[in-house]
Amino acid sequence: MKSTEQHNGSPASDGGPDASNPFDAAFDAFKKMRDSGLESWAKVMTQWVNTDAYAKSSGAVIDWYLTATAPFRQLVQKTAEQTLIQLNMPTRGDVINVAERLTHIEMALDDLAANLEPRRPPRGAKES
Amino acid sequence: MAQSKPSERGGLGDKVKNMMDRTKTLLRVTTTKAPIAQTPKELIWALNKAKLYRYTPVVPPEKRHPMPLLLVFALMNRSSILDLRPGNSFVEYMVRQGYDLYLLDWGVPGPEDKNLKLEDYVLEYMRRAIRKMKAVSGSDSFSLLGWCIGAILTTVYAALRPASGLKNLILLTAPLDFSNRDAITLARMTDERYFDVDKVISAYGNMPGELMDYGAKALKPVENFLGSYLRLLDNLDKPKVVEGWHAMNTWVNDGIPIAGAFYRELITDLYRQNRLINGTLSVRGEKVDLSQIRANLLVVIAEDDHITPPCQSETVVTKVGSEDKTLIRVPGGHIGIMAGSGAVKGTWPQINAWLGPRSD
Repeated sequence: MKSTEQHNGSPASDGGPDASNPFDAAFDAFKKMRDSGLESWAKVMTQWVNTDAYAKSSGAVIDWYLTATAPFRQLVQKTAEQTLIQLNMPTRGDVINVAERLTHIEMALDDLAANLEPRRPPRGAKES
Repeated sequence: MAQSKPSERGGLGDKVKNMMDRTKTLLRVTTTKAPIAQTPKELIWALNKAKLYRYTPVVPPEKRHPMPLLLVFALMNRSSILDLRPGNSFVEYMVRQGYDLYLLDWGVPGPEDKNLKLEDYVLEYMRRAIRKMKAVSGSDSFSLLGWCIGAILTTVYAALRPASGLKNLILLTAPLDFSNRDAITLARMTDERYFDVDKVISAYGNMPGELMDYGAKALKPVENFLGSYLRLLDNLDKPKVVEGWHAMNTWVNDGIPIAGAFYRELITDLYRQNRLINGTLSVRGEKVDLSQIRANLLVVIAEDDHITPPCQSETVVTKVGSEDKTLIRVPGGHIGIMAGSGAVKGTWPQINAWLGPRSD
């Protein structure tokens, strides 16, 4: 699993604001204030996402979405499947079955190849 | 990319040009993919979507470690994080240290892979990939490095096949123990009271990468959805920071689905029932007994890991049967300890220092 916690690169050592420039100084002060605010906000949010209330609400959103979209999803799936059958074309299920069988064939071939394959001599051994 | 510093330029024209350069840089890094996973490698084996690569050695044979090392990453992200970009690549570093390095890339599961389970990944894919690696390297002994979910897979393999020739097992940010549920935010989010895993899997077949990505980012919402972009804006004049951000952003936004059946096992057997540590996990009828692990063990914990908190990786050390076991704590987060700017002087040399003497 991932997040962007190292998304930011290393802190800058050059190219910083010019303290003698009033615009830069004001901008620098704004950034410090912004960062401080973000830090506090981040702490609050990180604590909040680790609560039962957040887990319950995020679970409810996913559940609502899946329930709401289920009829549409099923309709599309059923229509597509019936259309493909009428056109005498393979359905998604047929393709999945073929793909699974191909993987099983691949495994059998892999076992055969492993039995037939000459083993590479250990590094440093003299080739005959 | 922007090259100039605002403070070095005085005129209005220069300021406008500088602003345009920054805008171009911003557009480029947020709308394009950075070239990642550049270390030369050769495809030596494939099964379904899985591929086994061997990295091209750069060290003379007499200076190489004879024992091959297989990298196993998580199922829901691209393994390219191990080889992010030249100069910031664990793979590149290890190849230069003389390791005969292999990568098991799981690929992207399709609808036809929704029934893949833990047993398939460990006893079919990993077993075969390791057999191939042994044949190619000519070595019966080998080392395994598993990261995140990859650490679950390698741990289960090590427990089920202790006589396979596995000599060294390295677990990075390994989510193995789910007993301290209050400390594991993802465990709370996937609690059976709130999250219906069967409903998600029956709707999608596989667990969509976007949902996994959202779940991981939601653990630190301000940092991930806002802070990261603000820091990019602040550093647009610094090519090194910008290119690092670009590479990481490319990886972060390239999530992949996870096979439905495996995801269900992950949530029910591990997150909810903690079966691996409890000793009640079975894979294809075989009990997964951690005390069967005899390989030398290195557990690497990220001190600031919010995805796999340290408590999830600590217990395994007390459960395995290995005599030689080491646990190290590294400053940084779940991904940062291996791909952050400090990894080259922090985590990587520590792994090399541990593994090197055990690989000869």
